Amino acid sequence: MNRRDFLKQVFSLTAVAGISSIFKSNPLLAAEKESNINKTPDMVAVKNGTPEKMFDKGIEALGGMKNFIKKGQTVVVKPNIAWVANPEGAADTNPKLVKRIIEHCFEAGASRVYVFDHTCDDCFSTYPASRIEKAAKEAGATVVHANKESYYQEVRVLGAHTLKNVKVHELILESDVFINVPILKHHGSTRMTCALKNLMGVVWDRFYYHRTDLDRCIAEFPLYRKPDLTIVDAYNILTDGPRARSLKDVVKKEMQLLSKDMVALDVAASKILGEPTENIKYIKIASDLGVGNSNLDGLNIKRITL
Amino acid sequence: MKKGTLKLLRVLFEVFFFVLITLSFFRLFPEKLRLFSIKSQIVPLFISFFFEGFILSLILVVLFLAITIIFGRIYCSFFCPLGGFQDILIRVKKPKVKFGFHRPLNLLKITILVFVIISLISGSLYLLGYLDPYSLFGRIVNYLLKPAIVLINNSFEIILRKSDIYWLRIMNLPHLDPLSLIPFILILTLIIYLSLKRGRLYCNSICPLGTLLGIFSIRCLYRIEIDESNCTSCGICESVCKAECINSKEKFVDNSSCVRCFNCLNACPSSAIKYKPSIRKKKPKKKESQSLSRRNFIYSSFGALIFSGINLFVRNRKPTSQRDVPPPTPPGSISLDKYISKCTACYLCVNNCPTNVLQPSLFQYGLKGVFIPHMDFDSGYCSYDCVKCLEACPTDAIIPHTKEEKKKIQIGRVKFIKDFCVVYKNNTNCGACAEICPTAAVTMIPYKGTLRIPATRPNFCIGCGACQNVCPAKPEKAILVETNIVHKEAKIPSRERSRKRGESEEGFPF
Repeated sequence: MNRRDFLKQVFSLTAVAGISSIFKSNPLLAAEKESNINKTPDMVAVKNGTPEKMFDKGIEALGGMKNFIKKGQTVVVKPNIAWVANPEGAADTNPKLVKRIIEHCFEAGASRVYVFDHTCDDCFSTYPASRIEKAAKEAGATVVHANKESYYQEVRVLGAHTLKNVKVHELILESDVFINVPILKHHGSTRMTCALKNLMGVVWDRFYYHRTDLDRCIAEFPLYRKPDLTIVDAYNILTDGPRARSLKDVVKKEMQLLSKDMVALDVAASKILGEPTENIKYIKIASDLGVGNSNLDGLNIKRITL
Repeated sequence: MKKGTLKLLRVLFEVFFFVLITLSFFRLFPEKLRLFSIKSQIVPLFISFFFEGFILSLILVVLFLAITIIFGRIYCSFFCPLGGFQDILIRVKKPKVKFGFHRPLNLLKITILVFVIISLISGSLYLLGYLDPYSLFGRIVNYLLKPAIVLINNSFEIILRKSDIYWLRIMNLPHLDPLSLIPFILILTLIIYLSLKRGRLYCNSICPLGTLLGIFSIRCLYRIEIDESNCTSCGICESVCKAECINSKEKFVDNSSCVRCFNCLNACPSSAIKYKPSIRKKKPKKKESQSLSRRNFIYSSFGALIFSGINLFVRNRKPTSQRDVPPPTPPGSISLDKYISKCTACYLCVNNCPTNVLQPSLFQYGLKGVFIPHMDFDSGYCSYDCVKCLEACPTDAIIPHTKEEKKKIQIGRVKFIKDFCVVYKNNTNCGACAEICPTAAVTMIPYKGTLRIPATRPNFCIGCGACQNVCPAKPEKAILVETNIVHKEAKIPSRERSRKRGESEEGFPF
């Protein structure tokens, strides 16, 4: 290589570098680039499949369970097992979905997976009736009860206005990863129970919530801890809940939502349920507290139809 | 028959029924076995037949009486859990008690039996329930054994849980009301004292069933007898006789006091004591049948007269006490009066209730209903799908119904007091009552803005008390169940797909 060639090369490289640095400020190219680096979506919505299939696809779109669980970590999976109802009643989370989630946890290297809910009906009836106990055990999880105060420890909720202290199940404190698996249902007073409201099942004194300010307490709890992942079961949804009284109230939607953002999930879920989002007061309070993003337009939602 | 076979048989039966009946007080116990265990108890069977006319109960009572007439008081050592309890005490006591013959306390026991019968006829089960060995044993389990087991279980549960093992579950501690404990402790102390000092003296002096079976076994066919030709008058049989009914000096056995433990058969070194059919009338029996002398009879009748007077007085007192209206009675008990007249307070239902809504009462049902279980909606509520107490009740004070029948029994009606309601007072959402209501007797209706407030439809209410139990309002609950003294039938709401919720368009609605 002679000097001229060398200079030519240096010049051209500089030019390329310069031009590319100019183009860097171009929004079009930049967006493309960002989506290449951070291609995991903020929310994944899956439709038309079995609960297991939809979860397989959904978690794949989020980069797999290994994005949430490191080898050797302990995991809490918190479904809704509040009521005595069989899976068709759609009052409790779908057992097949719970089972599939646990299997993914173990595949990702989880050392232990715990499943519990602080139930409304007697847990010794709801755990078997919902078939979650059996499904979870088959997948290798440890099914734990939550029906006595001695399972709970008091924690402070920093930044809360109403729920300053709350007794939380010890496994939420001790476990590395927290996975929230609500089922989408209508609810008589708050209008909807989904991601945020499902967390009432990890606290001891639910009636403090009811007595004090239900919507505000629901919205403030995540200031203590947000789940690392929330999976909304909207395969069958209950349109007159939260208790299963009639199969006529069950609508088959075959949907599933996955995200870290519970507020965004609840907004999307309210649209599936067909309940005006503004009727559900805790969503706005949670959004104002910075728990999550209630503006779906600003989010990167991946929609998958199977 | 080989020497020792009878005692072995007795011990096997005694242990089997003791364990079976004890376990039947634990919720995880299989239902079929629980049913079997309570069908082995004479007093509950008798009450079930006497008040409800259940034929199976009658057949079993007659069977037990026939066994007694032929073999003597087999029940007392083979089936009676309180007998088993006393035998354990007698066995574990060191040094071993040496028993000696005592004349039967006929005046005392006949008086008590007469009292029990009169109170039964005058419509009060209180005395029978208080003295019935099965019910007494139930209370021993409820007040003594269960709390001990619960405490042990719960401490192990914590230890295991700390090491990440979730084999055990936390058990509920039964409610222990100090006031209701006093009569229980009195009789328990008496039983323990008597058994440690004098063996089965409770069974032979106070227990009305023991007295009754004793009367039936005065002329029983199979008898314990001393073969005078072989007997060496060593007195060993007398010293091992828990019922203190062997007189080794006069070589005579009081067969109406004998509880058929067969200890003497094994103990006799010269095989002089025998258990065999004896047709001929024995002279010494004359001594026993002196029991009902004229003096005894007059004493008894006089006492009984006073007692029945007290009894009638108690019976006609209306339940007054803390609340004017008594708490509801369990579904299947038909009415307060029927329930009180059949319950012996064995607490089998209390111990099998998964939600702890059934609690021993004090004066909730007035003086007549002291100690019998009541529905306490502060402790819990009646689970919609549960029929545990209906299946458990050995006396049919709570009559069995299917789940579907039970779901329609209205034991009380809901009453909403708006002024106390959280929604009305604080203008915040609540709805705890409506979400837990199994029958949609409580629903949420539009109120200010997006708020919703409870509304009730008492016709659909079954009175399970769930709403009252969960109502978070303080200091006064805003929703209550008002007792139906006589149970009614609840209406079933017709259900149609109510609202248009869930009918979003195809595809993703966001």
